[in-house]
Amino acid sequence: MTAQVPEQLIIDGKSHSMCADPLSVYVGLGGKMPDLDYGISTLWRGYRGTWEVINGGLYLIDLMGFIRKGGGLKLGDVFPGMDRVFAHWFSGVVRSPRGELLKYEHIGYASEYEWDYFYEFEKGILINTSNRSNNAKGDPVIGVLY
Amino acid sequence: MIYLYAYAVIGLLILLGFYGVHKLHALKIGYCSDLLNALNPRRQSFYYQLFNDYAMPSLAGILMFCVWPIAIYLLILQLLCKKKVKPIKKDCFKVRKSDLLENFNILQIEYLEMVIDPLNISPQVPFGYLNKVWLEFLSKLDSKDEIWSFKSKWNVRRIHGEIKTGYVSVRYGQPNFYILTSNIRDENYQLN
Repeated sequence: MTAQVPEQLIIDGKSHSMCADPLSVYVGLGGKMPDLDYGISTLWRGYRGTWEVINGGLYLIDLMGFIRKGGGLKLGDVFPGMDRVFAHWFSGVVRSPRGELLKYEHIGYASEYEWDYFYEFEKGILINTSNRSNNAKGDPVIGVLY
Repeated sequence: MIYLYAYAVIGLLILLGFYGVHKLHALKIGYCSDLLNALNPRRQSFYYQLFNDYAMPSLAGILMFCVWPIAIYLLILQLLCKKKVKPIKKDCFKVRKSDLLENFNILQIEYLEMVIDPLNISPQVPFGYLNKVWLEFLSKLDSKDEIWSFKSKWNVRRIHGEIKTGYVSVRYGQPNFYILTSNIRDENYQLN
């Protein structure tokens, strides 16, 4: 499996990579998606979402991908009439790598960066944050951000 | 000699065909290239680009021109294999009796599953954007059915574990169809 293009997370006005896929949870719970073109090896999920944490909530604000019958995938194709969508269906932790690339792995989201920031959501609401340095040898340091 | 010319012309036409398809695909994935570069900085090095953008395509082009019947054979083989691939069997998850937690009525569930959106832009209906799934669940209910919440551990094709929660209809004590409210990867799952 090829290294995958990550999702994008905007938090505190800054854009970062996000190694998680909350939209697949929506589909897993019965949400509908158009039939996508999965032909790009670096994007097996068929789309790339941009997410933003606003007022402590996780919002999907943009979607890029390819529809099988032709044309680009837009947010409105999944959520008609919406320009941002609150991810109330999502509970779990997302990882957002930061800093220099330490070790490239040609699989999934396995590449290692200087830092990993973790954001824990409960029904789309941010409830906990922490980070971990991947530079230090031995046990990683876990610290609460806020 | 005429056969050699014919072979070369066919080879050239096939090469042009493959090149066109490749260019179309490259256009399509163009927006990914910046992301891919960020993902793997080595992609921007001179030697990587020389190898990836010039050496490999040139070698592939020469090979295709010279031995195009093999390219056609491989293409047919690929198409045939695509057709042969059986779709993965759908998840046959079922709620067990031991997974049941608590009995609820419809009004209670609709109250519990109202979405609390910090920006107040989500549909103000139970289950928010997944309201259709809830309505579908309700449409299948019978007067004999009870609704119970549940929490189940499930292994997905024996690869990884999931913890599923939701509501299930229970008829004569037996769990039946369900609606999921969460589906979280089980980090403690151990392959037996």
